[in-house]
Formats: sequence, structure tokens, C-alpha cells
Amino acid sequence: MKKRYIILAIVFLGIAAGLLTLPATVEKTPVTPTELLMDIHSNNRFINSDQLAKRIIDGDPVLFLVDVRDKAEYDKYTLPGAINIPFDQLLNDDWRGYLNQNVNDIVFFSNDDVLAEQAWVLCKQLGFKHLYVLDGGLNYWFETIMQPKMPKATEPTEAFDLYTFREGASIYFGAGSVAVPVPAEPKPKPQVKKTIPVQKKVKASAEGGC
Amino acid sequence: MNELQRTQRISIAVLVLAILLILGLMIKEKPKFVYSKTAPEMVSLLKEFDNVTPDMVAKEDIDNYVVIDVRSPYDFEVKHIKNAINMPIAFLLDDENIARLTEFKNANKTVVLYGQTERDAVSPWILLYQIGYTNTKILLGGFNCYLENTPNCISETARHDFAKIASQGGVKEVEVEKTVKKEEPKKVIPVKKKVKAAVEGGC
Repeated sequence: MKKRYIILAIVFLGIAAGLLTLPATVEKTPVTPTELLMDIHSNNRFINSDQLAKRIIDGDPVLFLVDVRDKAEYDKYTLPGAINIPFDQLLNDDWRGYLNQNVNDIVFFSNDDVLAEQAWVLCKQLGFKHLYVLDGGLNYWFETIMQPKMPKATEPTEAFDLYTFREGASIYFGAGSVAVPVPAEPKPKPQVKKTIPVQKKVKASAEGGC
Repeated sequence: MNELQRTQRISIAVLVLAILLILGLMIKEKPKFVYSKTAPEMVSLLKEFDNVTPDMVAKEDIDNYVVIDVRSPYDFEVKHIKNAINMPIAFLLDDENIARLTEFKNANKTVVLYGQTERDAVSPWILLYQIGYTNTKILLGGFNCYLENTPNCISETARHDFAKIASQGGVKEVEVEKTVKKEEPKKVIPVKKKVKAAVEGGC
């Protein structure tokens, strides 16, 4: 009797041990290629410069900007509040806490959007969430927000509204300047004396007598 | 006797369970695609990966490459690189396309992916590369650059002096001239003065 129980116990333990040593069914990359392809196709990772400008100006608390260029470029100029994770350090453990989280919206950006897109797809594979890419990167940011172009007269009103918004944003981000009217000093006008010719008709005096 | 029956039942139950488990594991589906390169490996690989420039894919060299257009079928219809094959992103992992890609891989051909812009081809390419199609490359600059036929299609360079532009802001004083009323030039009215000379002498 006891023997049977012992044998059963051993079999159970054997099964348990076997299950433990099974290859992890949760793959190291939790997102399968098929799922990743759907995310790639959906295109909803892109945030354009106007949307981002609005979120920065509004002070969105969950916005988290990540500059994936190298440190030299980051030091020269970066978006306000952005941290620098150079692309080759992207998957290092030091940054894992910033990238693998559930609270913030992480927006990757670089000079164009190629590097940011690479960062996005690799992080997405590893199952990170709330990842976005700045469409067009800093180059486009400068061409739209920082140095907005006046729309042509034939364009619809929305274009002009957008231009007004961009002008304001440009001032906010330090590129545009506010025009302050200052009265000009009145220039002293050189006085020119106008000579008014007065024609005097002089009748010759009647000479002689009558 | 009761106990013997019980233990017998338990033994049978355990045996059945064990068999079920083993069977289940055997017929578990093998994942269709497996990453053969991990994400960290890709990071170091991307640093020095040489892709293809538009002039390489120009008419003369087209035979060296298999060109794949990952844009939508509509965009492909409108205009595409000569001899390019259309594999829209959404259908990239379909059996038919995978079969062709495998065929190209086995034939050792270099596959060049392109999208409207360079960025559009990045993710599909990384995905394909990681699931084993290491014979793939990206067309630098994308279709846009190919159309412009410029030799320099390098992305990720700063096109503007960011730091300078961002420090130009501030307060700009604009002089506003006081509108000065133009003084009407005084109209000259010749005044004719008739001067009668004093009559001298007497009549």
C-alpha cells in the first residue's frame, strides 16, 4: 500500500519537474511576427508635429520624449523635456525601466523618422507598449512648427488656422519672435523755405504833367 | 480492498493524465515564424548595414536585384520601379509571398525592399531580416528619392541648424512710423499789387 503511494508521489513529482523544464511557451519576444506585422501595417504609431506641439504646449503629463540620436546631436538641440537614449544603447538594461512601462506615451524621434522607426519596431517586438514615432522627425518639425510657411491665398481657411497655431507654437519653442510696436522717433524734417514769388505789377508812375 | 481499489483508480488517473500531457505537447503547434535574430542583435547590426542606393537599382543594374514594392496595390499600379514585385505590407507574411521570398533566398538573390519613403520599408525589412531572410536590403531614400534621381539619398541628417533657429526667438521691436499728415504746399496766389505811383506835379 505504502509502496503504491510512494510510486504515485514520485510520478507526480516527475511530471511536475518535466513541466518545469519545458521550453518556455511564453517566448522571449512576446510579440509574434504576424502580430508585429499587423502593428506595422496599422500606422497608428505616428504622431505628427502639430499634434506633438499641442501636447507639449498643453503640458501633457504622460508625454515622454525619447531622442534616439547620439549624444552630440542631443546636446546641440533637442525637444523640450526629451531624454537621450542613443540608438545603440536602446536595449540596454539601464533604459529598460523607461521603455518597458505602462504609464507614459513614449515618442521616439530623430532627425528624420528612419532611426525612430527602427527604435519603435525593435521595442515593439519585445512587447513594450504605448510607443509612438514622430512623423518626419526634427527636420519636419522645423519646417512646420519652428518655421511655418504662410499658406497661399488660394488655400482653405483651415490652412490659415493651422498657420496661426504654428506661429504661436513657434514663439513658444523659441524660434518665432513676438513683434512689439515701438513708435519711431520723429525725424526732423529739413525746413525748406518756400519762396513765394509775389508778382507786383508796378505801374510806371505817370510822369510829366497832364 | 477499498483502499486497493482507490489506489488503483488513482494510478490509472495519473497514467491517463501523463499520457494526455505528452500527447498535448507533441501536437502543440509549432510557431509559424521564429525570430532567428534577436532585437539586441539587430541593434548592433543596424549600425553598419549597407543598403542600396537608387542608382544601384537604376535600369542598368536591375538584374542583380529582386525589387519588392511594399506599398499598396494602388500605389504600385500608378507607378513602380521597373520589374518590381508588389508585396503590400499587410500581406507580407502570406504563404504565397513567403514562398517567393524563400525561393529568392535559396537562389541567393539580393532582395531590395522599398516603400514610398525610406521609413516605410524599415519595419517590414527588419521583420523579414529577423525571421531569417538575411538576403534583404532597403532602398535608401525610398521611391520618392528614386523618382528624383538624386545620388544623395541619405536620411537622418539635420537639414537645418536646429540650435540656431531655436534661439532666434524673443521680442523683436518693430518701428512704427507716426503717420505724418502731408502738409499741403501753400498755394501760391500771385497777388497783383497795383501800385499807383504818386502823381507828381500838378495838373
